[in-house]
Amino acid sequence: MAMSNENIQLLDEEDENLFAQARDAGHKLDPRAQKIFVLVVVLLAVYFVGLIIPKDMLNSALHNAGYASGYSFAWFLQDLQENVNGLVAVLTGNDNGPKSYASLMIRYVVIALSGAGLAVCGAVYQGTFKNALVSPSTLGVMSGATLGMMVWVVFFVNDDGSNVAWLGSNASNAAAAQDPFGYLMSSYSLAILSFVGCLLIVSLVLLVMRLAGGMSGIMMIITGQVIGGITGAISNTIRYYYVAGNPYGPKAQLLTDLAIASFYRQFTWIDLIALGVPLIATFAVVMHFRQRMMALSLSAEETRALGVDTKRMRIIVVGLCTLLTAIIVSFCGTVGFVGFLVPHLARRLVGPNFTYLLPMATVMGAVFVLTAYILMSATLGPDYETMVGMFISIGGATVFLVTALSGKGGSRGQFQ
Amino acid sequence: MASSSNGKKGLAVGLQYSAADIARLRNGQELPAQARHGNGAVRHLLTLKQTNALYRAESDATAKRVAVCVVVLLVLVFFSLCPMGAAGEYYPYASRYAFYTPWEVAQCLYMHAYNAIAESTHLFEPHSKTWLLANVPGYWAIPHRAGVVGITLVCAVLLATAGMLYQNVFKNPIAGPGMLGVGSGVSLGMMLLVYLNGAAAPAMITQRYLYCYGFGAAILIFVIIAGRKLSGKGKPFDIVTMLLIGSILSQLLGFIVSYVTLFVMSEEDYLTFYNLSQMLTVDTSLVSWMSLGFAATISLLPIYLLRYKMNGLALDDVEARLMGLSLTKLRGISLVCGAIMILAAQVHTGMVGLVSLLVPFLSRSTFGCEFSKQFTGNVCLGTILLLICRDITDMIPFVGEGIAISSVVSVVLMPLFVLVMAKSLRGWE
Repeated sequence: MAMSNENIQLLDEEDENLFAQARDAGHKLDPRAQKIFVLVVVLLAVYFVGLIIPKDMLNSALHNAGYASGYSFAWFLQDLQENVNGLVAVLTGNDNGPKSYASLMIRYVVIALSGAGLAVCGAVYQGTFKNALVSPSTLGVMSGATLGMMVWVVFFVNDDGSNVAWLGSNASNAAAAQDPFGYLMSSYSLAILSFVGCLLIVSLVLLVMRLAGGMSGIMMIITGQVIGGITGAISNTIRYYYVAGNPYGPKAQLLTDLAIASFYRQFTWIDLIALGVPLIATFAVVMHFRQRMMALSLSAEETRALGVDTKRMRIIVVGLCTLLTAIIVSFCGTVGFVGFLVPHLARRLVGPNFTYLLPMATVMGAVFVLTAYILMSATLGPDYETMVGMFISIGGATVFLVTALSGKGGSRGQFQ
Repeated sequence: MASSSNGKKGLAVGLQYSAADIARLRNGQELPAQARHGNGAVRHLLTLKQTNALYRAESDATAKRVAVCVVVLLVLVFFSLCPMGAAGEYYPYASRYAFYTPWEVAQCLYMHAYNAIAESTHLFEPHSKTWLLANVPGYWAIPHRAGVVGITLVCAVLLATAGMLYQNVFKNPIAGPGMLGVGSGVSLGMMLLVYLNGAAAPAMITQRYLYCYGFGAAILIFVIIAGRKLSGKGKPFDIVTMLLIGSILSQLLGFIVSYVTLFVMSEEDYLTFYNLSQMLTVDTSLVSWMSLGFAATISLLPIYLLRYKMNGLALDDVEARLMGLSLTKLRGISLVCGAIMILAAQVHTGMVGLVSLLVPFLSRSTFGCEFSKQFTGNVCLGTILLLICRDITDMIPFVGEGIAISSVVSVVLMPLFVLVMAKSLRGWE
């Protein structure tokens, strides 16, 4: 069909409009990137609010030392003032108050990093396996960590629980301060054993895949779930053995505590580096592969035509994410729901494009876990801090169900 | 399709071939162009005899396999009737702790049958019990063992069939029958029962079934209604939405149950809960049989009646509609019946997920992909595997009440799973 002169005329006008639009829009940020920056600001705000907010408000409302008639706003303000003073003291270098803010700041950063890492792993898994129902625990890593913890309790804890006074329901910094070397040894031996457990499970999965001769995504997921189930069964049996033997003994208590506890250790700068460096490395590698990972949804011929080496990329990306998950779970305990839920929410906000989804999932995961932790410690206090994983699951699931049920139906976003 | 390419042998049912064509075939000549397919291939001719022979051969193969399975099952059942050494068995006059030989089991069965006939027909006197008890101390354990074996068999059928249904609907083995969250409903019911009643919970059998079935059914109804509501203007049965809701619900409830059992309940209550939920002692009372029978009937009967139409799940929507099958209805019925099956199985045997995953693979590879054959295969293989696991569970003396069958199933079926993966006995492709 020949193009007449008037058609060419129209095309030029449209082109000019398009160029004008692009030129004007060039100064504005993509709305998806805007959302990411907004969330980063929210993260920083949550961080500082969490440092300042008084802890254990519900408990204090019930029994208040010095206030005759229960909860009082004056107590709240006074605690707030003390916290702000303490924080300013840390930031200006005079940290000698009773509340050690340096360790609290490190603790919050580590918690945020763990949430971020789990969310990134979840997003990568959901993209790589092209399945909306996978999470970082699909390959059995969490069960492996639990098994490692059980083995640690069985072999590394004295029968009267004397060398682990820093762990469990009666955790205290004083016990850690009395015997710092012993504390470090047992604390890090727990982390190392959990990590070894994770690696064992993952290598079992890989062994089965090697025996099967192929690595299709679905088969890997099934194998991971099966092996994770077996490991869970073994952990349950070990726990039952000790609980049936001596239900109130320290080993039984530890086994039940560690099964679903998270963030039960005191975090130091070693933990910060041990979590931060793998997270940054994994994030950098995954962002480097972001467009090629999106090509995984195409058929094999199309990916080969595009020059994407899916096999090698999949191995690298999934392996790195599994390693990151193993590190996070070893240091922080099992936090189960974040890697499943946060990528879904992030996909709703910024869409399935990995360039925006991965940073969004990272920041959102950090915000999610940090908010949950701060809410829990502010309301229920330090006794319940180890149950953040549960709180996240229950709160997150409820919120998700309520918003999903009360909103409109229709498409759930692309499960790319 | 097997066929003999020359129509020389046998009579040609020549509905589409003229007499001249038949004569040509008889003489070994090639057929002219009209007797060929569009691409030039010769139309193969199956005589009526050959067609009948083909069908008979297929059903013979199935019958042979079923016969082998039934023989193995009978041997296994006979072995399982031996009182096993684990805790939970009640034999008051046992002089030994360990297993009894099949010869003694045969004697006991003979005694049971003899006494039953004697008491009902009064033709002869029943044997006196002291003779029995001196010779075969495990006599009293056999009715209990028979109950355990029966419940295990029924639960195995339910588990295997549920797995097969879900794999047929989804063609994706990740979505197992536990995905709709009914298992966590059952755990919730058990937890509430133990929490509210403490140590008296194991004796409250009727309430146990009320709680567990009630909560499981409530979760199932919730998931179905939420799935329909969330699908909006799309298909009335958006499966991915239902799976999502089901998995979230099961995680949520699982965490609530973990929290309450580990931190709120006392340790003895936790032991009681573990005992009940893992079915360390199988309950063989009348209530148990009645509820299991009712659940099995309402879930297995529709599947059995629809067994030929279920083959249409392998087709796509257009072809199925041309055949007059409603795929949405089939899928819906499969999912709901599968959920009821897994609910009943969990209440009576505890959460045994690996059987639902593995047995359909094995039955597809040995019995074929047709639905009724798959069904038969699942029934046969599932019963054999679960009975083996139940025997192993009952043989191992462990602390407390014994090992949970789910642990044993996982460990025992793992090599089979690796074998399935290694040989790629997938079969739905």
